[in-house]
Amino acid sequence: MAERVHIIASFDESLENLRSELLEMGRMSRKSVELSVRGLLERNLDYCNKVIADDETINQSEKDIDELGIETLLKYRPVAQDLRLVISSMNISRNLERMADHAVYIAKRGRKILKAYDRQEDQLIEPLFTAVDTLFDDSLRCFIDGDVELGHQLKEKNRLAKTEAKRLVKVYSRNLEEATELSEYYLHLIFIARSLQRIGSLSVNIAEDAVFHESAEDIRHIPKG
Amino acid sequence: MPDSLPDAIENPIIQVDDMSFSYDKGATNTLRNVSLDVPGRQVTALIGPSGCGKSTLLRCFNRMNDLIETAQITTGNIKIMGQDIHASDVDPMELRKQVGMVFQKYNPFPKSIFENVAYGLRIQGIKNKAQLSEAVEKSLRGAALWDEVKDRLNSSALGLSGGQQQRLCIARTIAVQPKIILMDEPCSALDPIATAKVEELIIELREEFSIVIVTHSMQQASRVSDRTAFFYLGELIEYSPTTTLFNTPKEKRTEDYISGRFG
Repeated sequence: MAERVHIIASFDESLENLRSELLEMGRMSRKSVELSVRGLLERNLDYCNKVIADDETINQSEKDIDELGIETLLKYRPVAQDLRLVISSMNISRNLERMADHAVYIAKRGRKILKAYDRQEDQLIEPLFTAVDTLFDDSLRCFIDGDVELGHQLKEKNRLAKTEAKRLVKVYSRNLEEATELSEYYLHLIFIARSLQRIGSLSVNIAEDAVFHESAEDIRHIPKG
Repeated sequence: MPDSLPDAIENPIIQVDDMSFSYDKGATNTLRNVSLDVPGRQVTALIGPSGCGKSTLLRCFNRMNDLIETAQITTGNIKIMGQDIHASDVDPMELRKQVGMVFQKYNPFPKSIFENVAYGLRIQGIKNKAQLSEAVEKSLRGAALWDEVKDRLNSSALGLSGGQQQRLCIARTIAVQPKIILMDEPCSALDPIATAKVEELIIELREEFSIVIVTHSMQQASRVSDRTAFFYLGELIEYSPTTTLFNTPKEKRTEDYISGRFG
């Protein structure tokens, strides 16, 4: 079937710009989260520094998306799915910016760990990172592909990530009690695990907006069961 | 405006049942098999591209189309307050007292402001000056025009601004206390400020009257109406609470039209 386009071609361009900008921001934020953790796991200070340096670009993206969204609202008065695209994009960019902020927290703590400690327990982060990275990827795919079913699944997937984060925090807390001279090290790791857990939850927020965009269904705050 | 309206309409004031309408004695139907219930004391917007039949339908409600010799309803019927408006015992003039109309181009009579509003009442045989004055003031207040014209009621209505003239026409319509007010693109000739005043008035009038409005402005439909019906090529495509229709239209043709798409 032929693609339905707007009578006003610049309206299509405006929505496409918004979408492209959002996808680019999503790519950058996910890369930042990945580099922040790999910086720690691979003992690579450059990765950590890059995450911190890139934060400004991601912050600017959030502002640009807001500006594009407001401009689209003012110029074209979108309705139905077009309106939902603008609203969802602005919401999603907010979440992406917060995810990138968490990447910066992780990178900063990673940098401190790399400078002061050479221990193996930080490697325990990897399974949590993998789970959260998958959530992040899934949430973006929900939006790109309009995959409502995947969007519905993300809450459950996030529960597993949360469980892993809690388990990890428990392990690090126990280690902290046992080796108080390493308290700073374990505290960094606890906060890193918490940030990853938060990124998982923010991925769920993105999926909720993706579902709203695609089907106008509001799946926020639905009780379990 | 209510946050959410039920899909079903209880006690509709207008019931359109499988109605088809032709301007050329049935050779072609301008409206085809339209069924629609209009709720009482709400604003119902009729939208759709030019030629879709929305104004034709509006004019069926007070039998304005009777004035066209070759026009006729070819199937179905329209009931207003339960009465088939084409029944042999229905007098179109009596019907139009119950179903007032406001037109696209404001059309005050070349008379004073007072006489414009009093006109319908005089036709009804009301001559008592005090009674007329009271009704004129009430109608002008109802049309949010009283404060602007109370000191010049005997001045010509043609000296008013466009927006004021349109509100005067609304005052003239409500003076005879109809149950239903039909509005055919009432703001299309007005500037944004005058449009805003008329829209505000429409929302207020809903407390007392049932309003059906034809508009080409989707923003206007979404601002003032409780329910919206989308027409395309003589068919009723979708009829929903306005928020639903503009947020989650069920039909692709509705979504394409309201979001300005083609292809």
